[in-house]
Formats: sequence, structure tokens, C-alpha cells
Amino acid sequence: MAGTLVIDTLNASTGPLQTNNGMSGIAKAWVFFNGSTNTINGSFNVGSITKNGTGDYTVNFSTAMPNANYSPQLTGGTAATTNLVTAPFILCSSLTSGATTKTTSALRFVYGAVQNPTTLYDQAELNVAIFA
Amino acid sequence: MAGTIVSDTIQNGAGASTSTTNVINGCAKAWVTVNGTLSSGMTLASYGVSSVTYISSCLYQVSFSTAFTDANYSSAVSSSWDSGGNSYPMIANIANNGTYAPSTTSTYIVSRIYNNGSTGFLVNYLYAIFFR
Repeated sequence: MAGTLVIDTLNASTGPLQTNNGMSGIAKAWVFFNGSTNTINGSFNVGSITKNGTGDYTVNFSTAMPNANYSPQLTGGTAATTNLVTAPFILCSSLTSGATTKTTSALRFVYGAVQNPTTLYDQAELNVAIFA
Repeated sequence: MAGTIVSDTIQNGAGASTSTTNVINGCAKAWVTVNGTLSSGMTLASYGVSSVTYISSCLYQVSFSTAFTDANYSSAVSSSWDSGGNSYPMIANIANNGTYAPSTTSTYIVSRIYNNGSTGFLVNYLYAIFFR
């Protein structure tokens, strides 16, 4: 048997826990995927990954975010070439002819060299977490 | 007194609600704040992390208090902006750093100088968070 629990505060032995924390402080989606093979290893609320090209990915959410003002956290693995530091970046709309790359249903990002982000690379270890 | 609450939904007094599944899947299972410049006592605050060990060249092993069910958890790392902001945090890449690949019990985070992926860069603060 299950149902709806209506409560403002949960008391733990260490003190009260606002139930709002459980709604606003949790990740609304997360994914760990291989950008080279476009394979999802683990995820929550992510339906699929679209590989738009080398180092160019779109994370598609299973359930849409309430608005596009969510906070994405992006982390990549160390680069294939040790002399490069590479990282994931959210696409700036000015680089994509005004296209919106962060919508309620999807987030597009690229993975490139920090020194020259216009050169993109595939990465075997990519992580995204979304807070909304 | 303790016990178990069974509910599919959690709701606050204002009527905002979410599925308890979201809370379970969206909660961070571990997080840690590390002072990367210390040789011991570098863990400043943490949850679900038993220890942080300096390996070499600004590579750190983060060990979990409770093992994950598999190594497909999602990681997010960030760092402070130190000494000119020349550092960049990453996680060890599965394909290129087999020795330092994530496992169910630990993972590795690195801080590198932004223009050379093989050169470590000490930072005062490294932050990591893990979802599964």
C-alpha cells in the first residue's frame, strides 16, 4: 500500500529536514554516458542522447523540466591526448545562429579543448546532472 | 522510535509534490569538499565518502563509505579559481586511465593546468558529487 505523504518537515535525530529540500535540492536528471559510442551507462530521467557530430551531444529528458532556467553540471574525463585539457561546455546561442540549446526537453553541449573550444573531441566519459 | 514510511509521493503544505522515486534517484549518494593543497586531512566536508588520498600530480582517489551497486554512477567535479585560474578539474577517463578507472568503491579526480593535461595544478578546493 502506498499513497501521498503530506508533511513540511521531517525530523531526524540530528534535526529537522525541510521536505522542500527533497523537491528543490535533488537532481531532476543525471546521466553518465560514453560520447564515443553514444552509449548510456547509467541515467535518471534521460531518455536518450543524440550525437550531433564529433564532441557534440544533446541530452533528451524523459520528463521535461518545468522551465529552461535549470542548472546543468557537466564533467568530462581526462583527454585522450594528455597534452590537451578538454572539457564540456554548454553551447552559447550566439555560436549556433541564435538557436536555443537549452530547452525544457533537452540540453545540447559540446566537448572541446579548453585552449581552443572550437575544436571538438569525443569523450568516453561524460557526466551531466540537472537541477531545477 | 524509528520505522519506515511507505509513500509514492511526498508533498509539502503548499501542495508542491514529487514522486518519492525522484527523491531516491535524484539525491546525491556521495559528495566531498577537498583541500587539494594538504597532504593529510584534506577532506573538509563530505557525505558517503570515507577518505580522500593524494596519489600524484594532483590526482586524488575518492573512496566511498558504501560501495555503489556498479561503476555506472554519474560524477560532477569543480574547483576553486586559484593562482590565476589556470586549473581545470576532471575525472579519470575509463578508456585512457585504466589504473584510475572508476570502480564501485572509489574513483579518481584530477586537477590539471589548463593548457597541459599531463601537468598537475594544486588548488585549494576541489568539489565532487556522485549520483546513482
